[in-house]
Amino acid sequence: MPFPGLTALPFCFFLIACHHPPAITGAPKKVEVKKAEGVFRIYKNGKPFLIKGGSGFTHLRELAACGGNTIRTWDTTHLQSILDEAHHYGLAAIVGLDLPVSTLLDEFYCNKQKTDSVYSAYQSIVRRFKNHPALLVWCLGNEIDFPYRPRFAAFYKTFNRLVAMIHEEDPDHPVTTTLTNFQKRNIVNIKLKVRGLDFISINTFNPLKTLEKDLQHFKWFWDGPYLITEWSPEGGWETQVVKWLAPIENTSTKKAELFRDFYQNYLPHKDPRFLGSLAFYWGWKEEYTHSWFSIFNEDGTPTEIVETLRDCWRDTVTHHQAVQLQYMLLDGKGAADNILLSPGSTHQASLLLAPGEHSDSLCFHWEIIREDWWGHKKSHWTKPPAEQGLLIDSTTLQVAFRSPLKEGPYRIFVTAFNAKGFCATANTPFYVVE
Amino acid sequence: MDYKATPIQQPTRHEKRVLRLMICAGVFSMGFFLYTLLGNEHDDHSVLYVLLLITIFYNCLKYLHEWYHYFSISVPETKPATRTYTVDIFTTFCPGEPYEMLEKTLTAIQNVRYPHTAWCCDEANDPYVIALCEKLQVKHVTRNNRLHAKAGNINNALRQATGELCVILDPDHIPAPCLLDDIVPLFDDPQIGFVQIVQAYYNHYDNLVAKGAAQQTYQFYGPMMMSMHAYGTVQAIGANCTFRRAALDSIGGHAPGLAEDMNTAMHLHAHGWKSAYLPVVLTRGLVPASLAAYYKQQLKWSRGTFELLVTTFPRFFTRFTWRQRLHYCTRPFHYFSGVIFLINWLIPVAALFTGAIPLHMDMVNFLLAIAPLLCMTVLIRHYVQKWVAEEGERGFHVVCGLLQIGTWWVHTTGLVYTLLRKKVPYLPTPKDDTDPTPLSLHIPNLLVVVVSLAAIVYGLRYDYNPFSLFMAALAGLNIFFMLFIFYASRTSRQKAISQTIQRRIKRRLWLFRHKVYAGVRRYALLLSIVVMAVAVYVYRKQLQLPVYLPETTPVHQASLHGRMPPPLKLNHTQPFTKRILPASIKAVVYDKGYHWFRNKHALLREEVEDDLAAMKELSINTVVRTVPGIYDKTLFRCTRENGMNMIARLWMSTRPEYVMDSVAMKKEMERLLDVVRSYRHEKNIIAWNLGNDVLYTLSNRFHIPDYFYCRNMYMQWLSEFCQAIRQLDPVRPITMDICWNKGGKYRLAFLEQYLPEVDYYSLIADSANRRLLQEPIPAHAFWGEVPVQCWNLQPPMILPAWQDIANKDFISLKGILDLEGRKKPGYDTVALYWANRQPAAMELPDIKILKPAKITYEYKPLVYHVLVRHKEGWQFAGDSLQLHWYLIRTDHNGTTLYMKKAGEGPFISLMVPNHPEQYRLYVQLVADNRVKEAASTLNIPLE
Repeated sequence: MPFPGLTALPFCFFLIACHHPPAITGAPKKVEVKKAEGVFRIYKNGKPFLIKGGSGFTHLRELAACGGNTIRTWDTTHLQSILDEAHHYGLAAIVGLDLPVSTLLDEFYCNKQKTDSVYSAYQSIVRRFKNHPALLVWCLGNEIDFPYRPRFAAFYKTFNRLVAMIHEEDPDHPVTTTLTNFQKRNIVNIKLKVRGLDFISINTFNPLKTLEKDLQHFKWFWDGPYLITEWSPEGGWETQVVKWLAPIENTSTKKAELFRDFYQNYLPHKDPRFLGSLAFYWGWKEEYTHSWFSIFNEDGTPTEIVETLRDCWRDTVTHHQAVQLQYMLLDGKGAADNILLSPGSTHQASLLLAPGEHSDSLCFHWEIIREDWWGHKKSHWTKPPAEQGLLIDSTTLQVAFRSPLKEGPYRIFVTAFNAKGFCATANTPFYVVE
Repeated sequence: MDYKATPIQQPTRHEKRVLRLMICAGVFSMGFFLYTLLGNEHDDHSVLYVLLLITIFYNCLKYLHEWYHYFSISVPETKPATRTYTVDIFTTFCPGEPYEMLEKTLTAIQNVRYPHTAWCCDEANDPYVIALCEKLQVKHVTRNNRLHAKAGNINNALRQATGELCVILDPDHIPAPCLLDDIVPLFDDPQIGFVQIVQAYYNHYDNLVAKGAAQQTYQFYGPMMMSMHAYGTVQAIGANCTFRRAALDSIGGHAPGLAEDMNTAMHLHAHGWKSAYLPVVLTRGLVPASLAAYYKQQLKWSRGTFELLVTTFPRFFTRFTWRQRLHYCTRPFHYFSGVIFLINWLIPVAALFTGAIPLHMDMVNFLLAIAPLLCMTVLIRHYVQKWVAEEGERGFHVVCGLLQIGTWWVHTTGLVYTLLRKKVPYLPTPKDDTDPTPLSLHIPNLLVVVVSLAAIVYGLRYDYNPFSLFMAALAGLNIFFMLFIFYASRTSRQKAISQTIQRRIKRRLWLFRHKVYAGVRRYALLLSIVVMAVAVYVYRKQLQLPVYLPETTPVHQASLHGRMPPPLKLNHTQPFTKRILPASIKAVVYDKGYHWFRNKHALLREEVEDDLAAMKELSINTVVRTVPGIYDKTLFRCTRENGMNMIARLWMSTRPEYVMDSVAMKKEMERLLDVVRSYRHEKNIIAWNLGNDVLYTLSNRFHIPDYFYCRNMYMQWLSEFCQAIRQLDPVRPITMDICWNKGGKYRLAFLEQYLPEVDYYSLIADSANRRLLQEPIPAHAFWGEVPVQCWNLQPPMILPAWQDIANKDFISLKGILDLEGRKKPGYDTVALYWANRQPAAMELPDIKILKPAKITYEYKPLVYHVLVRHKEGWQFAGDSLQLHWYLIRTDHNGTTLYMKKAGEGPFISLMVPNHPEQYRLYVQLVADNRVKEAASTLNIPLE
């Protein structure tokens, strides 16, 4: 790529700003990022360590059984027990130290009292856990964004101070932060304004398809190591939507297929700067819907994605035990048909199983839940309560249901369980119009 | 006589850059204006609109033509002569021209320093002239025919003359001794065919006509010609032009015609000769100083140039350069202005006679759109006046403009004569201003005055409204222009102002004006930037939706604490007889166009007539209208003629502070009583209505103890007011509006007890309180305004609104017709209940807005769809339906304030505005003359 004139200027600043003091050489660190023979790797206890894991902190036994080696937290809640459990299963942990987004200047970064209290809290956390054998990396902040404008100076000051503190308290573990997708802005500002990060981490979904190319094009400016801390095919913000802008969700069968596709074709395995990846979300969470990112069901039943990831990480091809679906229909229509229902009317929903599956050996659970479109405005996503009394029998392959009386967007969900301990999910959005 | 022999300064690079920037700004402003004008929503296809467009486009093209020239303004370089040329100087003499003038000119010619031969081309073979020539050693030439007029005369002399260069001077143009010094060196370029210099005058302060005629040449001989020099399109002017003899010979001598100068230039350009313009004043001549002379000159030029357009121009078209083609094609259209002024006069006259409006556009928007263009034309004009010959030539040139307007019929005649191929004899422009203007020459202009006056009188009598007033003002302006011309033609030579004080004042004023012009020229760029910045700011401000601050409610009045309310009078001394309101009333509130300024509807007489006819179809027999208003005259006349009754609504101010201000309330009472006084003679008024429920408003704005005080104050005032109305008009009943909500019953009981002066109470129902509609009501109350949706419960006496109303900052969508006059479903309800008519047309399906399952973040786009109810249930609207979307701004009470088009079609992508909670989406399904509506908030409500 030619050297664009406009970016030359920040680059000059970068040369000045990036003058690091020479590293103190001494005893080998427990975990460090090193470049050997042109390849970046995390070295754990002196051995190269390629991260293959789940972005999540539950179901650790299953993760270890699948061949994963790393988990991740976003904050420090129950950190002791999570690290202990991880250690128990021989897993490493990326420990998240939560920070508010950089735009909250008045609310946080410009408030000395608040930043000081976070500083001392994290100081004690680092002191407490720095010798935990499961600890791999400190991750300071998740998608907090690194803007250009000078008014964010307070944010950079706080951030740099925290990074310095972690390094000082715990020279044995690298520090990173996660960024949303590949964005030049973030990388430029981290280069120019942030000191002490050992590598960057990227959370990326559909744009994973172009990540390697994007990074390659920007190599002239930044060619350091990176870790993919969240990956999954299609987030709810980047997929096909119905006319009322509710995203259309894939069945768990389709998701498993896409996970394999993404892992094999888009994760930059051959990139010498690639430190590893964490699949999102290893566990169960509500985001858009309760099944969108969840690799496990609410009750802990795994979906087919678990088997897919096991195959990916172990590089095997196995016969999957999980339930496989084709799609769900509502009155013979799919989600893309933009289904409108009148309140209190009766309808049929049916699930089409993949060939080879028999409904006799499965049990089903149907739910009607209103669309969770404002979930991210709440302090955290929570699953809205299911509408009551609408389903006549919610355990069959086909169900008849009465539409809700209140106008608004809803979804009908189904989860199919089999005797082998797996489940599959599907849902269809619809809108009740009075 | 002073000359200005040093040429005008060459424009510097900076000056050129500034000028070009200003021209770009001008073009941008013009584009903006035309965009606004043509993008105006109202579909206008009337003849008047087309005429208006013609004059607007003509003027825009004129400005563009002017700016095209200013863009490359330049002055030729003067060099010392490298060789000496033999020069002939010709002047002409026609019988009747003053000898004195000729003598002056010939003497001056002989004083020219450059070696030359002087020739006098005498058409008259006048013995005096022969003697004079002999005396001054000027060669005398004459001929025995009059072929080709001036051109022929000169060609005749050319046959005898042999000089390499020839100068043609009019007999009135007195040359400076240095006449040829700067001109001759330009001929060193062998391609130069002729050199033109400035045409300046010495009699231009003589009178107004001379002043105006001279002013017309200032901009042309200065900046315009300087650019023509750059473009190779210099215009030869009859006088002061120096030709290369070889060039003249190559085209067979001076070309003939009424505009022989332009014809010669065309011939020379077509034969590949180049031209130069030297902006120096080396001669001074006479400008027509009488209207007759001026008209003669203008007719000659108008006819002559149009003639060239249809004859010489096509002949040489292929031989011209592109710039010359453009120049010679556009030049005659200067005289097309005659037709344009005719149109400018016709528009207001026709508008007044027909009662139509040429352009349905918000007046303020129109002014905002045209203001930057006008500012830029003035600024550019003034800036290029840097390059006029003399200080006296700077300024606004008002007289020139007026004179041109007054010459409209002469220019038009020139055009018509050309089309009819009618010839105009060539006569030299009279030089002496002794002949008085014959009255016959004023006939066309006086006709304009008479017709305009008639139009004003007729138009204002036919339909008195703000628009006809505006048109009357325009017609009046035209009258003023024409009278000015008449006045100007009557003023003879200006008397030298004797009084020194007067002279001093005049001089001061002149100096001051010219200082201002200098300032404008100096800061032209800055001023242009200011103009553009203000225009952009105002435009953006207009695009933004207005912000409304919520009223503080309720009001806390510390001053009222502890004060006893004034006592209410229970016992009235005289008993009030209740007057009867006819029971057959079927009334409609018709407040269309009430606040006329920036209103969507202009209540022209025809529109009123149409509305009344439509009302009659629905068996409506009474119109409720708030008085006074600007359209009242029309309205009362039309209702009377249609046999309809009126209820005059008196609207009281309800601000709580106002109720306690006894002085203000007294004034308000006087104002309202004046209205009653002046309207009581209108025969078709059947009742006085006290609009708006003030007590309800007060109860909303005050806490209880304070409320009692205000209420009692108001009741005292009201009682006094009603008694005064009863005195003024003992016959007609007084009705009073009461909002029929929860507290309505109590207020009514209270009013009945303490206000026996009111004859009837008109209950205004609210669709939110449907239950109340079925309860019995007291004897002196009747169902006034009931929304059509509730007529199945209670058909009332008054329909709340005839048509939707849209002002700049208020909107009401309660009508049974929408803003465009399409019928809403409510229309059928009224037809059913009042006219006993089943809806004939096919019913439009119900529609609904489907809101997105997304958070309404400000300034983020969201998609909204229209649903249509079919037999099978709701479905997404198809592309074939005509759907219009609007965004409505509401205040904190949900009152609709402002409406803006948001899109069309079955769905829209809407940029969520600031404070989305104060907006509503409103969508209309339109088919034929019918409309169905739906409205919604922008967001899905959370529980």
